[in-house]
Amino acid sequence: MSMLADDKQLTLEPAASQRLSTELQEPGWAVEGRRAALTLYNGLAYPKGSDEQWRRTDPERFRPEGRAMLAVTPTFDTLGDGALDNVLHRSLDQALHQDEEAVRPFLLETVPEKFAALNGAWRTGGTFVHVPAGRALETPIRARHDVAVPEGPGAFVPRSVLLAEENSSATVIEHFESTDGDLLAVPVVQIRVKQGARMQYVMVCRWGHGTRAVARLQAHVEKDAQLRVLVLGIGGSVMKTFMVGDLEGVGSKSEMLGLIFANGRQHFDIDSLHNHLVPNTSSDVLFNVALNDRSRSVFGGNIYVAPGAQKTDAYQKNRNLILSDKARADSMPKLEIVANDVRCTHGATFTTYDADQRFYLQSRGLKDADARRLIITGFFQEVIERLEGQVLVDWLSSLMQEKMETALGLPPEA
Amino acid sequence: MGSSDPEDPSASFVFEQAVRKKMPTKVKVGRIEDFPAGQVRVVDADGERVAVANVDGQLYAFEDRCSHDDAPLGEGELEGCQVECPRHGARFDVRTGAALCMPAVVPIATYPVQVTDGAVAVELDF
Repeated sequence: MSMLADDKQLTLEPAASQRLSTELQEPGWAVEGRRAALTLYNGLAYPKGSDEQWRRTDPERFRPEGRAMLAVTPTFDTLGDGALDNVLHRSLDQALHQDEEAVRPFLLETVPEKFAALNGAWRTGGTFVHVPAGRALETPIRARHDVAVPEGPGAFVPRSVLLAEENSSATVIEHFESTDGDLLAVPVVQIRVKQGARMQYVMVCRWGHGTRAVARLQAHVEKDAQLRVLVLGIGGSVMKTFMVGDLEGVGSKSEMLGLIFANGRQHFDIDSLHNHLVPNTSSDVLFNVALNDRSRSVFGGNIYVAPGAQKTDAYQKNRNLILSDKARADSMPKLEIVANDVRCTHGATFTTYDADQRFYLQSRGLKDADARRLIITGFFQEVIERLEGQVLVDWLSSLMQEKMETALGLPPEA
Repeated sequence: MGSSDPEDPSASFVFEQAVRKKMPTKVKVGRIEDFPAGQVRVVDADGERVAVANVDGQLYAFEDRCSHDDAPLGEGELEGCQVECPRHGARFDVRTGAALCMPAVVPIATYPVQVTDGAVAVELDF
C-alpha cells in the first residue's frame, strides 16, 4: 500500500517535487531539503558522453523528463527464521515521521551530481532500517521493491537509508524487480555504520528489459566499524552504478563486492570509490563480471588516500569472464594517493571460457552444458562465499543459477 | 499476479517476463527520405544508438560506437563506404564493419537493413 493515493498521477517535473512533499506530509526541513535538491539539480548540466564518468555509457539513455512517477512501497520479510522486534524497518516515507531524528541527517546530505540531486528532489518510497545499539540481528532483513512499469515511460526514484548504531550487526537486502517496459530507476542508498558496528548490504538488481537505472550508494564507516556491500547486476537494459565508501574512523573497513552476469545487449557500468580519510583503514573491492552475447561492462575502480591516512590498506580486483566474441569488458583503476606509508593494490583479469577446462571436465564424463555451468558457478562462488550467512549464500547462488539458465539457455540442473 | 512468495520463482510474475529467448529484434527507424545520400544519421533502435549510412542509395547500419574508444562514429565523416571516427581517426567499412586502420583493430557491429515501401527497419542481433 502506497502513501500516495492511486489517482494522484505525478510526472517527473519541477512541480511534482513539492507536491510529493505535500502528499507525504513531510516536515518543514524535508520540504526545504527537496527545494535545495531541486535548485542543485537545475544548476547542474546534464551529463555528456564526453564527460569522463560517462564516456562509455550513453547518458542520453537516462533522460528523466516527462516520465510518470511510480510510488512503490517495499515489502519486508526475513531470509530464514528470526525476529525483527526492536529493529525499525519500514518504507522511508513512513520512517520520516516515525524516526525523524535518525532520518534527517541523511536526507540533508547532498551530493553535487545530477542524478543524486534528482533523487533528492523527487524521491518516493525506499527502505529504512535502523538497528539499535548493541543489537545483533541473526537473520537478514529483506526489502522487496516490485515495480509495475506502466504503458508510457515511468520513473522510480526510491531513497533508502540504513543505519547501524554502535556495536550492532545486521544484514539488509534490497531486492529490486521491475516488469518489462521503459522505466528510469534512480535509487539512492545511504548507509552509516557507527563505531564498532557491522553491516552487510546486498542490492539485487533484477530489473526487467527496458529499465535504465542510475544507482548510487553512499556509505560512511566509523571507527572500528565494518561494511560489506554486494551488488548483483543481472537485470535491466543499462545500469550505471556509483558506489562511494568513506572510511571516516580509524580501524574502519569497507568491502565492495559485485556480481554481474549480462547477456543480450545488457550494459553495466560500475564506478566505485573508496575514500581513505584517516589512518589505519582498509578497503577491498572485488567485482566478477560474466558477459555473453553482445553485452558490455565498464568497471572504474577508484581509491583515494587523503594526506595523513597512513597505513591504509586498499585492494581492488576486477575479474572478467567473456563468454562470446562480441561481448566486451573495460576495466580502469584509478589511484590518487597523497600519503606515503600505504599499500594500494589493483588488478584486472580477462578470460574466456577455457577450452582446456571444458575438455578436462568433459573427459571426466560431464556434458558440455554441465561443464559450462560448473565453471561459471565457480566464478561466481568466489564472490558469493565472501558473504556471511549460509541462507543468504544459498539464496544468492540460486538467483545466479536462474540467470545462468536464462542467459545461456541451459536446461535447469537435473 | 500469482503467488506473492518471493522464494518461489515460478510463481513470480516478474520471473516469467524476465526469461527471454535469443531472438533478433527488428526496429523501424524511419523512412528512406530521412537518410540522404553520402551522409550518416544516428537513430535510436530499442535503446541502441545505430548509425545508418547512405552509400549511393544503399543503406548500411552499424553501431554508433568506435571499437577503439567508444567515440560516436555517426559524427564522423563518410567517404564512399568508409566512416572515419571523429576522435582518433580510425576507419571502418560500413558494409562489413571491418576496421581499416589504426587505432581500431576490432570490427564494429553491423546490422541488416530492410526497406519496405520506403519504410526503413534495422535488425538487431539480440
